[in-house]
Amino acid sequence: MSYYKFRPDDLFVNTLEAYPDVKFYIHSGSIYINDQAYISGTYSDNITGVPRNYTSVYEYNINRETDQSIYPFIIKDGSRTTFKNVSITDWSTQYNYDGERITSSYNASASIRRYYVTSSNVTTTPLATSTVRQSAFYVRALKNTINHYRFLSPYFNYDEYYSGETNLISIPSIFYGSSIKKGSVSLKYYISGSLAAQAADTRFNGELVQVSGSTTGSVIGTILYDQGILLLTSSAQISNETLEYETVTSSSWCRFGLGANDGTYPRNGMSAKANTQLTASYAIEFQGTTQTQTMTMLTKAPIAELNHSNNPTYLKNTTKSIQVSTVDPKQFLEGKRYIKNVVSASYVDQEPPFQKETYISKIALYDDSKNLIGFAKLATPVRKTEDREFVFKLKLDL
Amino acid sequence: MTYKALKDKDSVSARTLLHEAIPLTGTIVSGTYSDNNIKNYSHAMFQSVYDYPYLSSSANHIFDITVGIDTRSSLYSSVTSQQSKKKNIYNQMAQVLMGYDATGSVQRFDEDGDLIAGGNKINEAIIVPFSRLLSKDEIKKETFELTLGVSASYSSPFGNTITISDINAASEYRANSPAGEYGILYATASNQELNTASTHTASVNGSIYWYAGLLFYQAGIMVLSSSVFGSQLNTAGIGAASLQYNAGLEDINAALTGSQISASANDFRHRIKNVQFNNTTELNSSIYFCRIHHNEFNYSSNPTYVENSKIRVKNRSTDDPVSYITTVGLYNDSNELMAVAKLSEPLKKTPSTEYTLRVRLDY
Repeated sequence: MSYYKFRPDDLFVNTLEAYPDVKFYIHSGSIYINDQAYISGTYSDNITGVPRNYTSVYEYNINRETDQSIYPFIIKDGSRTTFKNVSITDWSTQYNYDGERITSSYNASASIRRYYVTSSNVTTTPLATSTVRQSAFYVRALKNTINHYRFLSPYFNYDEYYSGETNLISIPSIFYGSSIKKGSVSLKYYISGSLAAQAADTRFNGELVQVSGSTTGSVIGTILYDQGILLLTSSAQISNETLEYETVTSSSWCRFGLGANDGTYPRNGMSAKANTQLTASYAIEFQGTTQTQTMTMLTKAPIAELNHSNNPTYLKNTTKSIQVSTVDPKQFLEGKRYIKNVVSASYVDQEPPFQKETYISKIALYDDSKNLIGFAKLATPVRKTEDREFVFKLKLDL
Repeated sequence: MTYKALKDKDSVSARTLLHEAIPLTGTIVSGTYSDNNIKNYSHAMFQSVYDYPYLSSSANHIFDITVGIDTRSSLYSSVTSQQSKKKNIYNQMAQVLMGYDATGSVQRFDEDGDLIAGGNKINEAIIVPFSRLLSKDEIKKETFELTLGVSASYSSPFGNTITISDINAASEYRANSPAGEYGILYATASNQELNTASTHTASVNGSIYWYAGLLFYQAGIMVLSSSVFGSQLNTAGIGAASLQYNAGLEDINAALTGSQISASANDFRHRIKNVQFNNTTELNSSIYFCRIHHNEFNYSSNPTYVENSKIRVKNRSTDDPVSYITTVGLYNDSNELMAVAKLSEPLKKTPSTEYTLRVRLDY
């Protein structure tokens, strides 16, 4: 086994950018994420242990009873480390210093959520006791962010476009990574199963432009790519048919996504049909952006090197103990060991001329202190002769 | 925005241990899913157990089961099924987990981990490598517990049980393995299921236990001696001369010699009542103490700080300046921004206040 040092040109780090497809389909208060059906479990109506409409962040406790769940815990100590959902006050007062466990849960979930804000909600003072008015908090909080993107489009103007009726759909970053890919967003509005209208960010600047339906060509809202937020403001009628939305009214982009964890389901005071078979359904499709750093290492097997192996099978004699042929007061000679000739012969009764050759099966990576920190295995050993050289390209996802 | 260099005593490294409690009831490994969560392979060298039918994308791999028999075992010559595979598995696991002796031979699994003293070797082992998803960095010492049904009857295995655990392992673990630390697994029973005249007895904290196997903490592998289903059992305690290990009502020795590894794995799962342990993940952090003295960071270069060329928060020239700290940026030597810490709410800073902001960076 020989050690070689990496030279500066042998190591480099690339960033692999991927654009995973994401799809939400919303119908009658149900959200289907990436077209996956929910599977009922023994202990809940979803085997992942989180409510339907949500994706499980860890997917750890599959179809498990509550008291049989895997859960994380840390021991309270002087480092003051705790879980995010444990407040400083609770940490100080609810847990003893005798090594008490602070526990959390792996049944964490994430999903999209719709916040509908009427004109009056925006102008009146939000109330913590009013769900509808609370939604106005979320839109107001985005004022600076919306205005920040003014350089992209004049539609990023809070005072002009978002101080009235607004339909906000929030997408958690677990679905899209670092940013939603520009130009990949598509919103589809179905009524009675037919595509009534479609909007897309065809201009790559955050404007959501209607590309099919009655008001094709108009901007119906904007998207904040980095924050994963859709802001729909168009109240233009999409269809003549009136449906049971928040009120019985005609369809518009402000109604898009009704039932997406917005507190509208189950729908008290509405017809049974509104609860189970509202004819409007919605699809949100986009691509996320994920970045994965990859280290590439070029390992070289030069000509006339790496042609000897310390593997016991490299030698003819496989006796484990060292054969001492000569021992006297002046010298110590080990018994001769011969390298096994593994050169392929054309005839069975002939031994081909000896040639040093090895088979490279593994490449090990060491740190500065020669600690083994990783190794790469070849699918099949590579024959290395004195006149051959190889470069092995190793990749490591960071 | 102002740069302030961190001094030597302003940063410290910290290590936090995060644990997870892993309960695995026997019904998961045998019964609940009608073995649709059990995967056998054409190579037939081990069996994989999942926590849900493995064809589902939601299924998590939880552990494998295999069997190894050393050539020096009294059973080896009578092994009629997969003899070389059982030998190879034993050798492979033993060389990775126990290493080699002075002669270059593979070290066998030792019942009490004391290699110099000799003692009983585990020549026939049921080996269970736990998934890295469950064992993480390592299994937490002294948290492992395995309950096995040892009733003589195959059809109702849980009338009598033994509990196998790594008692005392927090202080009495072994470090003479190339694969890290390992603890001794001891068996105990409440109703005399174990034989006090057995050669496998041990004394721990003044109580009698039975050597049951080894648990390799960092590797996340349990090596269980087959004797827990055989010579360790008290015939009076389990109500029969021997335990019916498989559906053919054979004892453990006959099952290990005459059955395929997958069949032995099935029989072992059939006897698992409960497995539980805690794992450990090491989280490394750097903590930076960002010290803000009374005369620092009272002004801001934010455009909103001034209005009409006048500081917005000062009405008279004698008023104290005020700023609100919202973000701490961490820069490298070349003043390149490396990380940003945000405060949950802005912190009012005046010349009469001093702060130390503790910024923790986990990686």
